Amino acid sequence: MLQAIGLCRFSYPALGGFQVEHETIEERIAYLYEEKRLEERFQLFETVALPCLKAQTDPNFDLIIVVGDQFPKQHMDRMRDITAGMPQVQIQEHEPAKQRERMKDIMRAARRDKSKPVLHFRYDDDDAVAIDFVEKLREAAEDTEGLCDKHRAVAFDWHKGYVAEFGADGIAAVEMDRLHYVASLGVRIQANDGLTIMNFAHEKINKFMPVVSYPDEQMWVRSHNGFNDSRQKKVKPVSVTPLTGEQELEFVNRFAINADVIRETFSKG
Amino acid sequence: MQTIGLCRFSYLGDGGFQTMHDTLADREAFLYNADRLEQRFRFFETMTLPSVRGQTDPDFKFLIVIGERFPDVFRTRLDNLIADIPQAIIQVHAPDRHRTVMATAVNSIREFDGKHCIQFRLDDDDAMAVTFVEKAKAVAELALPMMLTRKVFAIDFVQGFKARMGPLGIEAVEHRQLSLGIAQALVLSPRVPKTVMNYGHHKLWHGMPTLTFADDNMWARGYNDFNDSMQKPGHEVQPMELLDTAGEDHFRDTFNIDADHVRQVFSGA
Repeated sequence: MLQAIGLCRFSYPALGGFQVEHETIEERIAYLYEEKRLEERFQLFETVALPCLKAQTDPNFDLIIVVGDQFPKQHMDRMRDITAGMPQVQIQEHEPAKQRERMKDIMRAARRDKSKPVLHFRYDDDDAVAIDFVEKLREAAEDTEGLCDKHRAVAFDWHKGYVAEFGADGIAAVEMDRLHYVASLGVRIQANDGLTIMNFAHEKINKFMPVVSYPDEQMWVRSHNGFNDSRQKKVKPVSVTPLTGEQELEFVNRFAINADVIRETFSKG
Repeated sequence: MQTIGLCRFSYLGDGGFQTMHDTLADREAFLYNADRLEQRFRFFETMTLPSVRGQTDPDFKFLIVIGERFPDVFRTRLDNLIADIPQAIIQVHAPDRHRTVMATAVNSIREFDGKHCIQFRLDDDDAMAVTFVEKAKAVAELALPMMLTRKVFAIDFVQGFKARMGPLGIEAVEHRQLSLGIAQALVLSPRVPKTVMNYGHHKLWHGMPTLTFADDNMWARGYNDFNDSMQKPGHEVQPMELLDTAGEDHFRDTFNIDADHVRQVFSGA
């Protein structure tokens, strides 16, 4: 069975790599570790990102969560607590380093058998994927072995999903169809090849490798909330509408996101 | 796998052109204007047909659909040009709904042999790489295990050139575009009677699984005064550069387009 490795950076203070620029690494750390911000990141991580990983129909994957080596102890404890039941999770503390290079090293080091192909995916700490993402990724890679064997890397992209806002009122969302987004995009790397998913900018991935894309069901949820990194820049606002009861059920069934839990969590302020 | 290419050569019907005309007579006058047809033939002769003639896998059909009132003198010229292309078939159709006519034409030569069928379009001023049929078949075979339950999937080679032909030779610029419609193949299930004309080529990936490849230059799109999709106001033309010897060699090797032939044909009055 192909090893599947997911990489999630949780407010890791890299040198470069954030879309919000800071003058010094100290400034960046101060911004990232600010209590109010981290509280919101944790709330999203716990209610949006983690539940669907715990519910994956194929539990055979690794999830590396990268935090900074100055991550405050109480937050590190919280991270350990909320991932305690997940055998897939490995929390790694890293000193501030150049983003891409460090992440590539992490992905390479996580590979157990270099003589076999490997599956890579990135995972933002406020996104969700469908509960069958890992199953679908592995199945797609196995079904296309002949194609994959001819290329150093092949990407698999389920491009339909939702942009959603999470708050005290629950979930408001809108359907989106967007190629080459981070969530539910996986890459199959050839045996004995040191490429990683971090070698490529996800939005340009089709420039570098064949991409198999699937238009089927909604496979990702991207949250648009206050501290969302790429939203600090000028971004077109996306207009979302509150989920109906039926859609709330779909969010539970597809993404393990529970609107009641969202309401309760985000009511705490 | 049966492979069918469709080329609409100034077919007179309803729909199918981006430039609209009030009446069929207006459109006929536009389409069959001798200067326009002369220009179309120059592209067809120097770009389209060489790329068909040069296919490394000769096992395909190339269906050219023309209108009933296609001028005799140009019909004779067309017959002469395709005389040495055994894959070429000309069908003459009365004015009717464009997409219906084209779908009927394609299915009239489809064998429905219990196997999948590859279909592609090639406009009369575009070229495909000489390896297109060979590669599309190879990819289709490799993708089949993953696509067995699908009615249709697409193969899209996204890397190519915008190219202008003229008395000095070929001006070109590299370009990458999804769902352009050139070097794009549909693979239809054995009993699915739909055709490449049942789907708009734009944003094809929204509706069906798609395999994209960007590793080779696989298409050349011809630009000229009468180019149909350039008639819209505000259409931006990227700067192209006159090919040097290496560039001309690349065009000859990749598309079977001969720059000397281009100079000769486009120097004619």
